[in-house]
Amino acid sequence: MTKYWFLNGIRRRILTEKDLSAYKNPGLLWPSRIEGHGEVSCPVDAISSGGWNSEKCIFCRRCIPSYTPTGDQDIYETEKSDPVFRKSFHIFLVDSGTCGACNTEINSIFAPQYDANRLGIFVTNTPRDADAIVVMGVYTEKMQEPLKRAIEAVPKPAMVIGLGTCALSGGILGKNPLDREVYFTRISGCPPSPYTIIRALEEMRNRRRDGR
Amino acid sequence: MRCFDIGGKVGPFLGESQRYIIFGKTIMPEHPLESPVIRMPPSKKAGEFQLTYGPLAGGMLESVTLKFITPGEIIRGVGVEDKFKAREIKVSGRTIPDAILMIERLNGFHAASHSIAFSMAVEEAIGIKVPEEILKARMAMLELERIRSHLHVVANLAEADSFAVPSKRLSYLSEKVTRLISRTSGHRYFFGSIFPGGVFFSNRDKLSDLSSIGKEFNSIYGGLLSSKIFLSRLKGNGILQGEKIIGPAGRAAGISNDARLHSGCLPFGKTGLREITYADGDAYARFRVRSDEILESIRVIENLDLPAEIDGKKQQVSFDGPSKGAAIVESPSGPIFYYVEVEDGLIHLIDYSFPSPFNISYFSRSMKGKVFTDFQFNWESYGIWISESSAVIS
Repeated sequence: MTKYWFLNGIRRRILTEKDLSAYKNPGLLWPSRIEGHGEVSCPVDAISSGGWNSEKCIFCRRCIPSYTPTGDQDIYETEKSDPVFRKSFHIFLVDSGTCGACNTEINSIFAPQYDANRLGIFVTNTPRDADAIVVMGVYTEKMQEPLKRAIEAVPKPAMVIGLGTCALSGGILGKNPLDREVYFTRISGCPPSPYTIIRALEEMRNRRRDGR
Repeated sequence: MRCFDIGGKVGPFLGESQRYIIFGKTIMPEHPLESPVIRMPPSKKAGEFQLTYGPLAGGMLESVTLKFITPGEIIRGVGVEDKFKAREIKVSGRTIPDAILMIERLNGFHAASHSIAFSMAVEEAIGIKVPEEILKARMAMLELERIRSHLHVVANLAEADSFAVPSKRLSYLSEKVTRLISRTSGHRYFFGSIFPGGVFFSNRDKLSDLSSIGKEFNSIYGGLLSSKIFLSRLKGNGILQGEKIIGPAGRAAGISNDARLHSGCLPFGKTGLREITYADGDAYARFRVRSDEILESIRVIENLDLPAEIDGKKQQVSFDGPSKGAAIVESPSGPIFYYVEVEDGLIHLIDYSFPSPFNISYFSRSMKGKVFTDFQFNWESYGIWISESSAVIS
């Protein structure tokens, strides 16, 4: 029976989780919004007198027990929502200098549990076909030129999405490859969970929370 | 615990990131005095041209440039330029808690292997005795990471064959394992859960899903083994033979090199771990090694008698002058070795050896004489991570 893959696939029925909230992956605390108070020794200055900055946080748990994770993974910011991409949204991925975790997490959104294709999200092989560029990783000298050329190649208005702490603030390993203001959407996390990525992409496409 | 007698087992410099050869049964290949990564392709002959692919190209997970020398179809040589995304990671002069945060981000997908190897080297240097329950938790973490990584490779092989159903089912299993990792360590990639002296680990019936994952994988594995189309892509593709090949690529060429059994850093010998080897040395043998290791890792975890909870309390340590330590861990792609010197609580010197530069070298060697359709199967079968091969630690 196993070799009849088509029938075997049908026999497994639908594996995709219907409810977006199910993506929250019960038990996932890091990365999620953290709350607390008091002075802590933060290696990336994500916690200061001004509060907690999700874009700097690497979720290293050094602030425990003064600060604790809430499990709330809605840790992203988008400048505005654009409904023009409601039906389909093509992204081109640029790895400026990642550890590999952001790369695998954005690929995870296409696993059957999430199946971002059904939401109209696709990865393209060339920036010419893309609606937005997703930048991951820290600044690296040799990737600056390919990154610049990829952004130029995206049809205007090119939207740039910053994915992960390294892309947004440089994290603990370096500096960010683009200025914070360049990013249309900023997705926090080290790395951001698939739920956070999908929620951020859905919001920038002005789609409802239930995925419609 | 001492994993190595540093004085007796340190070899000569072997170029960038390969300072030491570890003697004994765990083989780190001797290499000429140059980087093991073959960055430049062979020079062109009459009628040949260079086809450059990357650094930003579809189908590649990370930024890397491949330079093929070909007269049209046959690949005569390939250079892999892996330094586009080279990150310089400055660990020397950092405190141990800061250093571990950097080490685990060296290769996020194999963060447990890196942070366990580094932590054990530091523990040896500063004289921390680690309780057996922490060692067991670390072994479980390593095996969970191995299961996920091997699932990822097998899924990529199926995807390269446009085999959508098994590829998606394997991705499904990979995500299930990632969620297990998240539930046991609090993070989907083990970040922040492993450090010198301890771990954050919770096993309150959370690993019971593993047997169903194993059962489902076995059924997919059986299906792939009965698919002539899939097997014909792998058999005879990228044959690699030699005496000193590391990691799964070596075991696929019949070499007994599993650091889990030979290094003695972690008590894998007590688990009855069976080393998987095949003789052919091709992409098919590498696929078989990884698939069998998934099932073996599940069996090891189930037999570990794991503690229910380790709360991750940091141990107080004292620093009595300069000290040094080393450790080796078998990551899903091959052995990871760290040697550290600690002085006044700071990392004074760090040396290391990672498997990805070697795997890139094996890939280049085994692509000679192949055609372009062989490329993706061969590349995926090595489980190469550019983040690991390109990083420069100082």
